[in-house]
Amino acid sequence: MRKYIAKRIGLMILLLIGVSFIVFASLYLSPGDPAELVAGASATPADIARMRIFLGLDKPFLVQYFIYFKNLLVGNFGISLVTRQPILKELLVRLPNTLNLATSSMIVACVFGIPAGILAAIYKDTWIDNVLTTTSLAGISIPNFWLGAMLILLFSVTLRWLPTGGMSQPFWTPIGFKQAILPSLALGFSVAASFMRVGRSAMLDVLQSDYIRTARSKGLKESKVIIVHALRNALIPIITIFGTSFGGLLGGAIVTEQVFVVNGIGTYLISSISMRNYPAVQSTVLVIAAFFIIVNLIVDVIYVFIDPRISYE
Amino acid sequence: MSNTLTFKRENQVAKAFQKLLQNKLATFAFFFLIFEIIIIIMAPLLVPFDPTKTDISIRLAPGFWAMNSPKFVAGHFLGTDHLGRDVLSRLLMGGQISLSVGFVATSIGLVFGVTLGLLAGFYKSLDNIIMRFMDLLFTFPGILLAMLIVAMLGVSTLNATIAISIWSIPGFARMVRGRVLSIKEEDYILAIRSIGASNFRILFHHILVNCMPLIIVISTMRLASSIMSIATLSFLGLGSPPPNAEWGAMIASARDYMWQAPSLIIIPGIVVMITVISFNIVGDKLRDILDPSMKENN
Repeated sequence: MRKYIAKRIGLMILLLIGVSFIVFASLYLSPGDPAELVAGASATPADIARMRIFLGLDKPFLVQYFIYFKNLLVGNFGISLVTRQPILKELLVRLPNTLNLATSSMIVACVFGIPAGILAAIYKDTWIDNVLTTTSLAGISIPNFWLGAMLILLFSVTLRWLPTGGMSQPFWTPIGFKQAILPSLALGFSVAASFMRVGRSAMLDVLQSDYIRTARSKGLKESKVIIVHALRNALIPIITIFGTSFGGLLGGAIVTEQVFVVNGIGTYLISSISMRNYPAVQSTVLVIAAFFIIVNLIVDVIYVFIDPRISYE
Repeated sequence: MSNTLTFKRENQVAKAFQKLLQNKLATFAFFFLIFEIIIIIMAPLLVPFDPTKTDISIRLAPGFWAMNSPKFVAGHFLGTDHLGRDVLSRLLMGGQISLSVGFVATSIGLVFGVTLGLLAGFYKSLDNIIMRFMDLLFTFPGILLAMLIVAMLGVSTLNATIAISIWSIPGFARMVRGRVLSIKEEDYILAIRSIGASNFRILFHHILVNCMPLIIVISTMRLASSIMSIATLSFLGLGSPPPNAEWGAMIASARDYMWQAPSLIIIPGIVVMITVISFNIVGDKLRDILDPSMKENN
């Protein structure tokens, strides 16, 4: 057990190093000279040359990567080319908003997706199943930015019930809750849809298994069969996709933040891309990928505790 | 030998389509897609107006649902956008971008992903290198990898296509590798090997043929997500640059006019949704028919 976790952590560190290398290399290879960008429009060639040495851009690629990596380890993510502020500071201001959005969306996904999947399996081939299955198909096919815009159109512009955007407080406060409803529905709908699909097929598998037949044949009430015996095992496959779904939410949050004008790391990333603020792009991508990797590690470890059948050798 | 195998494959795919057509919803989705693709290919001949021609005097004209309104301009069936461009023409020409990016990106992802998956599954020495690299690509959640690539290459339709292609590779590679691992243990592969077939022939002829159903299913699903991705990238301003009509870009520019002309944002979104949902319905059904073993993992 301990060996398994140690191995997973080792793998996680390797992945993080790999990701940092890809991110560094991709922007190293991109056209445009960062020294020119930093030096500004009025810089002379001599200024740019000095800036290049100052930024360490005259060193070989691997040496540059090594310095970059060493700086990452001590929390130095570089300086934003736009604001001249440390990037880490700018990210830490925005990260809570993104995590707030991702968490509330995950709650939406669990609250709607899991019961829907179980209901669809119990009432297989009835109208309930058809409605839920069709809705989930729509859920994975609607672009989340468009769904967000439609929700704004209906609930903010037409009915004026909820704010059109912004996110200033966590979702468990009254104001934060109102702000979080629409963005989390927009972002969580597709994850709810995939939870529903996975939950439905898992529940169907479980309902056909021998021990459910045994439970039924000894005269247990159907509700008890489902709640006590079936549900617990049907949840396991959902936990396996929980990690990837959280990653999908982080990726989707980049888009949803744009729609609802949330000052999160997605908005930061998009504006950094358009302003060619390369160090900020590097760090934001790295932070999102790191979150994804760490959440997956946690899910994998929890999984071992929940499902004793899987071997962790 | 090869004749009988080819024959068998055609038979299998033809049978799958027969079964597909037994399902009402899938039949509808399938023919809708055929119809949409034909219309969009022929779009340059069909569009009533130049999709990039602006005319401020008729901006934000409503469509057929408000024919009696004084703002309605005859000929602009779906109305005009904030620059007076014809919405119907932009939708049709935008479809050319969305669909061609979808097909091209999926094809590139297929070629590289399937090749890497075949090699990784077949040659143990390559397995670790290829799959660890695929794992690495998988650690960029959602559209993030595509965004990083666009950030690096610059904003253009071509670069967005490259980005979505690269993003599609690991999905193909992972699924195909898994299938190859089980196929290569089958007796008939041993039999083919014993009559002296080369590794290359076994891999790219016999194993590939047996991966075909799986590849068809993944491709259909990837088409859906590639079309969604180009719309998303364009919405973020990282896909097809203006003044190109692209569905996601149309949605983005309509956001500022949501109050005055909600149809501008509703219509392109519905088109994206119906297109993506149709590919997903067809993909779902094909999976049930061709590859019932494929687990629900998304």
